[in-house]
Amino acid sequence: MSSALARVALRPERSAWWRLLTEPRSALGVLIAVVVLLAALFGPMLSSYTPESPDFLATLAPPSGMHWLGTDDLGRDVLARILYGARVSLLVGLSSVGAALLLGLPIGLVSGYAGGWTDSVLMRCMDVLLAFPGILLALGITAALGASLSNTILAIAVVNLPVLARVARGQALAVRGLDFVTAERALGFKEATILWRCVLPNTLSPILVQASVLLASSIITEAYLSFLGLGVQPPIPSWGNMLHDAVGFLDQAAWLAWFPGAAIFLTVLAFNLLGDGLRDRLDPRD
Amino acid sequence: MTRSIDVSRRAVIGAALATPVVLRAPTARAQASTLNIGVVSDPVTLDPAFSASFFETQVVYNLHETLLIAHPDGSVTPGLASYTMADPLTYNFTLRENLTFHDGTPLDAEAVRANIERYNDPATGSIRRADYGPFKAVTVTGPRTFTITLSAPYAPLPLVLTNRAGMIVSPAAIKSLGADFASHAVGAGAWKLASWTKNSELVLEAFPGYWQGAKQGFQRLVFHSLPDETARLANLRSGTLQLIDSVPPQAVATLAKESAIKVAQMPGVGFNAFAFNCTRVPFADVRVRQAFTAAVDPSVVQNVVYFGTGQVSHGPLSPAIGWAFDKSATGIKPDAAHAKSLLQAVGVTLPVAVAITVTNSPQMVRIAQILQAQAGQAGFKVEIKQIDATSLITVLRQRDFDLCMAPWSGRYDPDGNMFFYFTNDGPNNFAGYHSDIVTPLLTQARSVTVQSERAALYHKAQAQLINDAPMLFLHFDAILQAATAKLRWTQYPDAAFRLFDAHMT
Repeated sequence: MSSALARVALRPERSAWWRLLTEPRSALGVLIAVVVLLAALFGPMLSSYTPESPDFLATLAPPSGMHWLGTDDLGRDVLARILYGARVSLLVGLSSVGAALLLGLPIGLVSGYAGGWTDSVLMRCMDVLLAFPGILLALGITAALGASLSNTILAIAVVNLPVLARVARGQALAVRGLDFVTAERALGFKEATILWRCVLPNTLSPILVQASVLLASSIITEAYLSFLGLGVQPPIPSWGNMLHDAVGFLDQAAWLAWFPGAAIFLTVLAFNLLGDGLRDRLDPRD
Repeated sequence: MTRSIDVSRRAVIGAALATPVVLRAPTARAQASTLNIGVVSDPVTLDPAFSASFFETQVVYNLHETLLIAHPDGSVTPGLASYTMADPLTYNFTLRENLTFHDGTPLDAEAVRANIERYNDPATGSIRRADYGPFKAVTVTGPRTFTITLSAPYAPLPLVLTNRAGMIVSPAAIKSLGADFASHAVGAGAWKLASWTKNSELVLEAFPGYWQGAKQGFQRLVFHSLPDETARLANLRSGTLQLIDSVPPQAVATLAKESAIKVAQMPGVGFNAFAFNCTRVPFADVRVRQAFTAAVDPSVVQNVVYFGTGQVSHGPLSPAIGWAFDKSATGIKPDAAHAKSLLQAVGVTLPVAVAITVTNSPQMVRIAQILQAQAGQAGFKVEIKQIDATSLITVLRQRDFDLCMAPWSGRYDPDGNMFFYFTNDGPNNFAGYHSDIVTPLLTQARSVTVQSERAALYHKAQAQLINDAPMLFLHFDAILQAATAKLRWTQYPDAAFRLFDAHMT
């Protein structure tokens, strides 16, 4: 009887992860995300063109056998630039979310767990950042520091920081009143150890969901900044600055806008679907 | 009961449908007397004494009036005044009758004397002083007559007086406004300044006291500062703007097919070139400059950036100034391998790191990327720095660059394309170029009166410039401007808007 119960107890765990891959929407998200990741990792090596080398005799060429996605106004291969742009987008997305996690997670956990003055001060600081619309804050930071890849990552990380901090804080608040935390304290464990060993592992699920959604918004923000000329600078290709260059040629070479636009759309869609799927899978209702 | 509700509903619907028609009529009438113009950038100053920015030319000729007037073919006719040349050192002027400034004060010989002396006074620090060349004195000989005397013959003088150096502003306003004059200029042009919201809108209103009479085709000129070329074009297509400057070259072919828009194109007197910073490493060495120039192929710029409009340039003398253009002038032949060997011969460690400074106009950024790619093959490592249009003049004057764009809207007289840029103390000598050959040649060319002799001197000077390469010459841009097809207006080869005769058909 007990072994049968044990088997039933094991099964829901496996089927929940499986659902992530079989449920159509999240499966699509996973699929596209994997394609983007592979394109970013291996794509540039497979293309026979480099993204930054111009060919002044073949400018504004439409898609053809020579150039599958055509060439831009300086004769650079669009496909190579899209593939390289995938690297830039993922790099900016993952770095900015990662950096925000590294700083936001401890801030939120400490704030929620400690409470009192610490909580007030830390959260007021986060409120200052949250008061600005994300795009404007990122714009302001890159305008002040100068446009570059590293400043773009910094700016988006600053925008992501308070969001993650608040989620972490919420989780810490929920967990700190639980019995096992009290028990650990009674057993004499240091506060820091309790935070690291007990509170942190139990806050990861919603953080993960939030991080995947932030990944999507970070990629969009980078595209905005590069489109406006304040993000990644030429000649480094980014989907955003490809759109910036394409705007002047919408009549003559519309494909220059379609392809980076489609790339941004699909990537952001993928991470949003992934985030939805993760949220469904990690829902406490199960 | 039902019928009365139906009737009232119909009445409401009827009134709602009729209202837009009723509202549109007065708006349409108001719009006919306002011309909305899209320009690349706000002016920096409206004071002709200090106006140096490429971007002021669209506004100032409508706000201020010049002593003499130049036509698109380069001929000169009387403006505020007419003149006779008594001898090569003496020019006698007679002002028209009853001239006033926008503030009502009289525009008489005294006012002109105050203006010319202000331009030439070293204490003012005006860049127009260089325009006046060997100016000696201006004397008032009657209420409406004055004489300009020179210390040496100066052939460009009449053409100079058709440009900003010939603009006459109200001395009373200069006194009362002081430094504010730059934003509240008072002149004698066909329109006066109504308001200026910086980086947004500059509004001019018709001046009834204009000497040609209140026959302006438009009561108001509204200049909209729109740095984005796509936005300017979109606004023209939608009808929000009726006239725009700087049409992107790739759009010219597409616009030719649109019947509602007419593109105006003509060769420009100006040049599109970059200044090398000859005062510091690495471009202080002429061999490094020659190496860079040898790496660059201007015909690529002509094809890729300008889509065939305009012409390749090797020097500052534009084909639009027909008599001074040197057809036989060729630049250093583009050859990347030769360029690299030149650079290696100098003995510097490769790659040589340089920065190119451009405004964020798409054409200039594209040019910078072409230079980056071509110079990269010759052993240069090029970084591109983008700045906004209003900062350009500051960067150039402070020599805060290695290689910086230094376009020139051009003058009808070749002296205007060369003297300020290439003489040792020239006000536009951003390159910091010093030559004991070119300065005397240019100084001589402006005092000689025979045209063919002047042309020969300019050709010699240009040949020396090609060799010394203080600037990287790339292109003579065609003036590309566009308007709604219903607008009749006159285009000028220096790209300036002079809109007195502009009107809607």
